[in-house]
Amino acid sequence: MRKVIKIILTISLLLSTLFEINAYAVDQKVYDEADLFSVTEKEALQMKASDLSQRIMLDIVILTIDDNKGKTTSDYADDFYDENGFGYGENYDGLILLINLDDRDVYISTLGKAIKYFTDDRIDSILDKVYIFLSEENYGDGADTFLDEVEYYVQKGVPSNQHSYDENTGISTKGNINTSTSQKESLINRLLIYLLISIGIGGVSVGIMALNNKGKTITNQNTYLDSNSFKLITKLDRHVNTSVTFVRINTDSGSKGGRSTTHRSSSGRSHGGGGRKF
Amino acid sequence: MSVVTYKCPNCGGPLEFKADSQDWKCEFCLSDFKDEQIKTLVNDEILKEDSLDQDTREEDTEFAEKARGYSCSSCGAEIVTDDTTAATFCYYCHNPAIIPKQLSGEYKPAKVIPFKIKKEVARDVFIKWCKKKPLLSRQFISSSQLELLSGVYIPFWLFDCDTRGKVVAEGRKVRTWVAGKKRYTETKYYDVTRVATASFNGIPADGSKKADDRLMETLEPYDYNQMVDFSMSYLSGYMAEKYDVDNKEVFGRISKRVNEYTSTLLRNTIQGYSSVTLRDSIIDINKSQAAYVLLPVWIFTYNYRGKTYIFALNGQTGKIAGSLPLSKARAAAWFGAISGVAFAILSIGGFFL
Repeated sequence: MRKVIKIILTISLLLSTLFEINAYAVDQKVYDEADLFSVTEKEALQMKASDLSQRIMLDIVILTIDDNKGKTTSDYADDFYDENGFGYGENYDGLILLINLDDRDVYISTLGKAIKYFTDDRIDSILDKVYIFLSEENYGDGADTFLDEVEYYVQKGVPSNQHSYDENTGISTKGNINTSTSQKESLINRLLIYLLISIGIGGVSVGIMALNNKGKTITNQNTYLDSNSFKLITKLDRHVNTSVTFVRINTDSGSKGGRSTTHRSSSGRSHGGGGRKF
Repeated sequence: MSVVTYKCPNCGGPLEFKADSQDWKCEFCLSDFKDEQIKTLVNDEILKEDSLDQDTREEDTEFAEKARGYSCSSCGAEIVTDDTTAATFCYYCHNPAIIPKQLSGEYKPAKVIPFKIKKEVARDVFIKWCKKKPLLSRQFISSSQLELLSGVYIPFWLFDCDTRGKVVAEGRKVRTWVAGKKRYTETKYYDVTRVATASFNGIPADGSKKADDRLMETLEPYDYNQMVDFSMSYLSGYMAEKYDVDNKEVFGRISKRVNEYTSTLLRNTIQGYSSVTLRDSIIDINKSQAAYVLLPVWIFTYNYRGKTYIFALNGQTGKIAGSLPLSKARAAAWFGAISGVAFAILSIGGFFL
């Protein structure tokens, strides 16, 4: 009996360590190869990134380089993430911020679930905030802001109109398409909506039929009117008041708002993301 | 008291007014009689009947309040009717019987529209109409009850009204434009006043308590161009009623319709606004005049699954009034079919989206 318990314990322990290894593949989050952060900054960022990664279940990596090794910034970021085993779960959920001093580029690359959280618009607005610090050479605060923004958007959730657009193939996929269970759910939801619409159409049609199930009145005000007897005596239109109201227009609305543009990295994985010069 | 049956001058058989040929026909010797011929006949008959009427007046008082008894001029059998019947048939020999007293004096109609649609056509029109109704049980039409339709001249009051109306409304003009990052909406408010006069001719209201007002209103409109001066001879072969609701009593219904019509006409002159709210509407009828006429109506009473349905068909135009029974089974079938097809189209279409 005791042996059995022992075996079960060891197996579960083994399994849990395996899971741990898979879930928290790499502990180091900050790779300051360009030596842009002070020691305290680096420690603070490492703590914050590691803590945030575990809370939101997205692997967050911050990388600085001063030599691009002949790669574009986006390729460098994609490859660094793919080759160093970052990411949680089967889709390597996570994102990487790359500050490239060689080209003065900043780039965010997303994978898995992070593609859905960080639509093109959201990445743009993150870059808007980070870029200000980078252009002032305040790299520590830039990276810190990046982490704050990541947390903010993950807590906001995936936008309802989110969809992925593969720029290599031009194929657009709706959100929640990656997992088969949610696909099934959306199918059932869709069929349910169709069913409700159909019942509505049927009900209205039969309602109209029921109303038509009798003779209808066809006389109106003109039936018995003596032709040309209608004479307008007074026609007065007096302007009494004017009111003007306005609403602010939300410019980043529309169907494009939820788009996450993705591309394939050299490893074949699908990445989202975006970057700009600073 | 006696009744009038128009007799054929050739053979003495009863004459009936024929809707399709618009003349009078003897069913026995197949003689046709035109308008002028029958009119001379009518005058003779009326003179004769008036004298008879005097003789029997005493007898009349013995009958109950509502019931009236007449003797058939063909077979002598007693015809019992109620106090508003002006034309009917003898129950025994089925000869047309017209009761002149019910159509004389203040009860003499000024005009009449003779039947234009005969019984067979009325039945066909009704069947055709029924076939177009998807929620009607198929059994309904096939039933032999369609024989039970009767052509009745219903008493109507036709009103000519002169009216003056005023409406006061609030009009709003809405304009929107975009400037910078703001969308502006400007609403201009207007006080709108319209005053107008109008004349309406021949708004009908039935003067019979037996006839359902809504049913009769659905039969409208009649073409008054085919209206002719009243002659009893048109009633031969049909039933007829005299009015038991006078023109003062129906005026309420007329003024309601005139108010509605005038108000709508005035409302239609308010144009160029994004939205209009009616604040006040004052309609006065300055002058009104009523004429007593008889209008032709085919009436069907239909017994279907223990419920009586009444239909009316305009004896001139063929327009139908009345509610058909709803078949729940057919409603459910249509609902299922339409919903099913809609669902199939949506589902198939949806997968390509």
